[in-house]
Amino acid sequence: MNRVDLSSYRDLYLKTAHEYLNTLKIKLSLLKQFANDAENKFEIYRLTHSLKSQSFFMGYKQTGLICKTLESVFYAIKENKITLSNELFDAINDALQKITISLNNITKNQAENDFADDIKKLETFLAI
Amino acid sequence: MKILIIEDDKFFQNFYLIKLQEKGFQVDIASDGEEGLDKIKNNKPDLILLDIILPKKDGFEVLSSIANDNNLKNIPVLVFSTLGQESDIEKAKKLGAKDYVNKSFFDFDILFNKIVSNLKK
Repeated sequence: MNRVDLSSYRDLYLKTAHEYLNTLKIKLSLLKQFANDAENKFEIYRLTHSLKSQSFFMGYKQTGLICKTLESVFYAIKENKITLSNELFDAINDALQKITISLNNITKNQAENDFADDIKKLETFLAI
Repeated sequence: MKILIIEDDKFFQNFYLIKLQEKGFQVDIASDGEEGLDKIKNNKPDLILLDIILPKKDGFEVLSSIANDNNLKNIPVLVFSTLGQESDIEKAKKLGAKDYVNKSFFDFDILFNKIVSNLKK
């Protein structure tokens, strides 16, 4: 099934992607306050996983790749392998904001953003 | 033929519901593992499409429950995988999943053929 066939699902993708991003931003702020909330950590991981799956499915590879990196970060947080430092919080928030801008670009039939720098930055937190 | 989709993502719920109904299947949806197991026990679908990362009970727990129930263990289960979760496929197959569908590089014809093939067995 090619991109042309999936175009009728683009609005559904954009709607659910924006919903997930908004929820992610809220839950991330809660995680900053309540670092040991296991349920919240799982929810954040699950939402990012869904966003990744949807993006790859629709052919938005760059968005899928940044979400895959975020998923790895949130998995590591969920498994208590890394903590949500101020620097990591800022890096994640920057990435989420850029994803939002990218989705708005897609809405206007423009290309999705390139997230190579954001991916590199987030990966440094996983290398610890 | 009844297909139960156990999938928490609204986008994929909508997509699979529409595409499978177009092919003539009766489709039911569960949004988490617990709801999925309830529907499996109460409605006995002919085939299950199962996501792994789910709220409440994950896909592996659902597979284990099905495998341990003589009334349910013959229902074919196809699991969804995505990029970065390839190791989940082997684990799912060990727990009784018949096959997998890759959501990252999706082709509906492949899914449909796998469904038909597993329903015939």
